[in-house]
Amino acid sequence: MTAGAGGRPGAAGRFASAVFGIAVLVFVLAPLLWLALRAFAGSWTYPHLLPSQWSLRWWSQVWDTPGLTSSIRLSLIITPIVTVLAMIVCLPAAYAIARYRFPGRQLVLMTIFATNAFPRFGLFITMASLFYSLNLMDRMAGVVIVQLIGTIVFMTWIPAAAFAAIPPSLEEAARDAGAGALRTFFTVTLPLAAPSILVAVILSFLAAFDEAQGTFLVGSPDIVTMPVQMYSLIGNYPDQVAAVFSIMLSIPSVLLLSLVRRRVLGGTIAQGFTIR
Amino acid sequence: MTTTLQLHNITKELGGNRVVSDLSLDVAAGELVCLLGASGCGKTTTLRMIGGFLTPDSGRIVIDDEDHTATPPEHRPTAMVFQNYALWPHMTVAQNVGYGLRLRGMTKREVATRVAHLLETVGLSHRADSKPVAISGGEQQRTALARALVLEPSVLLLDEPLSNLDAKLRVRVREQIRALQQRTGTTMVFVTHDQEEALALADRIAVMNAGRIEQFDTADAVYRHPATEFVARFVGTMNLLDCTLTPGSAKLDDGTLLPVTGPVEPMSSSGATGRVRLAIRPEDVRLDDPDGTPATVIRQVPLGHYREVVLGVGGVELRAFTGAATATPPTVMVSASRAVGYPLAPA
Amino acid sequence: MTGRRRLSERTRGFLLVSPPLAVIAVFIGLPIAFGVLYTLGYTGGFNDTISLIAQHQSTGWGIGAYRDVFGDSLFWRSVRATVLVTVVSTVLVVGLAWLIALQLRFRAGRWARLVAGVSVLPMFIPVVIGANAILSCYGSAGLFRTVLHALGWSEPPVFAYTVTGIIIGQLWTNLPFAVLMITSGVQGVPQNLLDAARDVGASRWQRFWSVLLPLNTIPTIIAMTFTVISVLGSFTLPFIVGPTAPNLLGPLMEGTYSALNRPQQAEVMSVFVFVLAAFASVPYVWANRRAARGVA
Repeated sequence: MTAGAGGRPGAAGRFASAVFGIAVLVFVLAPLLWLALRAFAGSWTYPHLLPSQWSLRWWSQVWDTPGLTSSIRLSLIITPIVTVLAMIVCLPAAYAIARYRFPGRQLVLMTIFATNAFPRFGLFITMASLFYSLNLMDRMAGVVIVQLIGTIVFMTWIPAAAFAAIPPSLEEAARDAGAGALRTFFTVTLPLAAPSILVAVILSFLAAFDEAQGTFLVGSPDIVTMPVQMYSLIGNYPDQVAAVFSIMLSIPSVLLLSLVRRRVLGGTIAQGFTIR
Repeated sequence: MTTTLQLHNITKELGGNRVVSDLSLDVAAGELVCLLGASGCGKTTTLRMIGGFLTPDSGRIVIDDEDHTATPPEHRPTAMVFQNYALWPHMTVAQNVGYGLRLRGMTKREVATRVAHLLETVGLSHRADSKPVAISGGEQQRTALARALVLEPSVLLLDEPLSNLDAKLRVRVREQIRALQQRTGTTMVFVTHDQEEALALADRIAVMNAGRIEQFDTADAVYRHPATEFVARFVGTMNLLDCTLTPGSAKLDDGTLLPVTGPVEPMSSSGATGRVRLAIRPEDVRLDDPDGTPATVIRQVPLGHYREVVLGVGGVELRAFTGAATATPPTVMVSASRAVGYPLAPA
Repeated sequence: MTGRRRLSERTRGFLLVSPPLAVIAVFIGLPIAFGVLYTLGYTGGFNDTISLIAQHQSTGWGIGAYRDVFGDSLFWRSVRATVLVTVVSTVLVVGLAWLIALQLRFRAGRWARLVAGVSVLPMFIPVVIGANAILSCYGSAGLFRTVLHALGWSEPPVFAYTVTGIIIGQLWTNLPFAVLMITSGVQGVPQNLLDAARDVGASRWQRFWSVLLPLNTIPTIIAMTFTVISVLGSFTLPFIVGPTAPNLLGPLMEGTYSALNRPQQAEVMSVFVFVLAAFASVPYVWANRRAARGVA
């Protein structure tokens, strides 16, 4: 036992915890920092820890790379469409799952789970065949659908858990005070659930924005979004160009993450996945 | 079993606040002591230090003449009944009770025998295979008690064990705990904010306030002779009147003389007079004293076997309990048969 | 009155959940159904176009496509690699997530919170970028080799384009979800339950084994199931970080589908992966049912 009576770590425990923590931090952060460093490297040869020359020329070169700007534009068009579509399709269902008791409710939950239970790439392979027949291959609509599939779980389960966590008595009190059903929903229920819905929206946005494998399969060769562009950048262009593009692709994620960091760590996602 | 427990000058800070301050307590063998106080007075912190879940910043905890200040809870001869019981939800009642025995390397059969015996003692044999969620609050409480008792601890610690039970059940379990304590002779420390519980259960009560013990004495003494004004206010119902004490009566601020026929503690011994805050129990207020001062009845509340009467005397309110079956007349002659006086800071 | 309200609540419920169910039915249910039919040789219905494009397919009811795929040793080498990566990464992910959760719970403080917070970061990094970052960090000129070289190892290993590299990447990308699930569960265990175990003499290990772990079976199983499914269904990471062949089933499917233009065989592999995932989901379904019954 290294712990004292209060369960506080002894010196050995603190040391172990520090070493473990540093290992985790290095494991997670080092690849990202290494990649980021690359974006500013003029020349960099193994086995030097730092580049021998710094340069910003890759940042301007990115814009000259064919297809890059169009992929950025495409991503910025498609992702909001997918996110709004996901909200329209899923939020009412989330409310129903949380509030209404209807036969087959459990089945609905399991079905939505099943969208995640199919290994993604296998699913995309079968979808592609259908898309050929529906003439959705290499079309924007096809890409939107592929990305929408990845947002359904976030957009139903997390808001459903949030709606379920609101005591029905709060809604009843509003109804009691004379508010109609819709008014109650928009003035009481929605504001209370809003923080969790925001988390769901952001996760859905990122899921759509970052979706690469399905978009690659269904959208190629014409619908090339930013992450799909990465496939061809890696290996075909100087590492530095891929690094610069990676940073640009991460910007939305990092910005949005900082918005909801505390909620995500506070269990909003975990709560969503244990709803019954 | 003759376990004694001593706390010597215990001090504990939590989050920058001094929660327990230079506290000493001496619990005799086989005694049931209550730590009584409002929330935040440090009673639970004190109990958790006795159990080993917190380490005092300074001071010593001695159990049976052995210093246990730094012993972790798993090696302490204490057992705790937690507030909310802290039953392990994934284990049955029998598994909850038997877990500690299994850790001690007993065979399955030995554990089963002991658990069955103890469950019978607390009347839970029929619930042995139920999960905690499936049994009532009272049954959960007894499971927690059995889990603590099965290890035959030297000192049993109870943290508000009755606060989650309804009023009737609380009285019954209280009596069961008392009976159990008398049978086993286990030394017990019991934390509660409910003074009635403390008065009914404890051999001695330690009334706590702001991390200190205000008074440590028998239930009777705490009730009849509150050592400090805090105790007087906290335990039972008490009238508190600022007045000037003269021999035989208390002169209220508007000049009314309230006769005090009995002793005024502790002043009476020294024969003190002057400005005091006088504490009078409602049952010590006489309503039919021919030599008393006139008082008007403001309201009266029948409370079953007694009634509470609120009186107006010399511009202040005075509460009285009377056993009279009939309603009190609108005007009565009032005196106090006993009182306790506390020094009043000069205004 | 109540009868009418019930009825309308039921109808409303059905109406509101129907849009996502319709999307799922049309774009997941339908393709899977026709996919399975296609693997069995059915080329009608929605399979008409794909079967026109495909090269080398078995038509007419039969298991010819399965025979094709299962007779190929490259497929089985991919299966072996996929199962190996899945098992090893899942064990590592869940184990590491537990350590982070325990540290957060018992070493509470800024440091533990920072470690837990950072470990969730990859969830917000596009997988493509994560894969690229892993590739360059563990590549021949990567940070990993550079540091080992500096420490005196003249020829340190290269993990880029290896199965080990895929495992490292899977650990990196799947850690966040497991950390979220397990930390949330571990944080939710009341301190009293642990204190009570301590009180009856349980050591640290015993408290973990007989209180903390059993109370977190469900989050642990959820984390495991989703990690298994995510690894089985991954394409980007093995595609970028893995070796040419045998790689995992994801890249093999893509190659079979696009480069070889054999969609029927690719769909056979999909069905195979679905079956693997179905087995992996059994504990999850079991755990959820147990939770629904309130046994916790």
